[in-house]
Amino acid sequence: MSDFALRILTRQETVLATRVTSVLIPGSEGDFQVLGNHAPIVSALRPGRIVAACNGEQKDVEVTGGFVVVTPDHVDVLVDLADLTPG
Amino acid sequence: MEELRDLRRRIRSVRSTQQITRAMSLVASTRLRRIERFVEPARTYAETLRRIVLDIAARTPPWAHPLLKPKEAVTRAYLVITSDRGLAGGYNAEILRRATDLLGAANLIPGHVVVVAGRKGRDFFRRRGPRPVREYVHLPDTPDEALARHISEGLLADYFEGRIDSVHMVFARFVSRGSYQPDVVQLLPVEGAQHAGYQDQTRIPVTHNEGDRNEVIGRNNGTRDRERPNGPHLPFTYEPSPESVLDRLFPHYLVSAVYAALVEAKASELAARTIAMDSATDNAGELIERLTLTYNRARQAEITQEISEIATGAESLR
Repeated sequence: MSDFALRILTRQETVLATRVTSVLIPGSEGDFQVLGNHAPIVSALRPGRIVAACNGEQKDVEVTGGFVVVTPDHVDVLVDLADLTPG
Repeated sequence: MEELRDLRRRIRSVRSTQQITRAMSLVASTRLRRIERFVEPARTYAETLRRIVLDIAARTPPWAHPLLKPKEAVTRAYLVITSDRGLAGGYNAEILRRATDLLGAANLIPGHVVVVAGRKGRDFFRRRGPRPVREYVHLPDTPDEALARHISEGLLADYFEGRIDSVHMVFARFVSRGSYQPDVVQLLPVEGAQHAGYQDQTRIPVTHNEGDRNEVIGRNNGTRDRERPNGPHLPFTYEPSPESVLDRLFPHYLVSAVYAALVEAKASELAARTIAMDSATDNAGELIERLTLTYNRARQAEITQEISEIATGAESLR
């Protein structure tokens, strides 16, 4: 499975910047999963949890208020607040 | 004797001034270090959003959304970001000159309005006009989204209620610890609706140019923005629709743009103050050196004179 760059950004800091193989996005119209080579999409987000997965490792980030920009080789999540859940 | 005492007093006073300027430079550079790390994320965030906004603008007919509609810019608003405090060299003067140039280029048509952040700018425009329609002073020391939100909500309200037809933002872009660059950016309406990709052209000739800026940044700290503009124009799908994304994205973008400008302005102000206070400290050093030289000369002259007086006295006693 092809991996791609994921960035979760707030105005103050880069909360997460890593390569992943899959990410689950809480879109305003419902959750959706993004894999490598996804069609370009811009979506509003609802408050919720982003689940980023890479080779069996998983990272959870709680986000509120923002957008996601998906291109075939990277995903940018731009939010007001993001909190990386430890573990 | 009189002269010597005077010189001593002046040396002492310059020395204490030098202590103050040195302390101010130190304080400014410490605060700069604290805020510097906020510049890059704020910039990345705002630019990423800007590209999306421009992308939507480029593929949406301008009449489809009020934010994209090019209006006859009868009443232009200029958001001018200055600092609360002076002693920062030419920092505020440069921003204000840029702003007055723009107002001048617009022939100071009555109705052009100024929204001002920072006490220095407020005082300037209150004195000279046009009187600011909104004023934001006591700018926070650390970046503050609440203020950015406040400012951009005010601008959006004025825009939607027809009090202003366009918004430009005048502020200093932070380049490095040693330099900053006054810049002008058009915020409203969104330009680029002419399906011109990410072209960033505004009607006034002095606006920033993405290519140039990257060059400046590259020269100063050796980094180049990697995936910056003119990237492939991707056919984004918008969820749920371009218009509804724009509705929500635009306020978000505006807050980010204003926030980034506030952060850059603050960093620039602190850089300017560090530079100004450093050179004031150097100047004081030079002055002390010169005064000390004069002092020693005067002292020597006095001694020489005393010796010759004694010699003459002794001579006359013979």
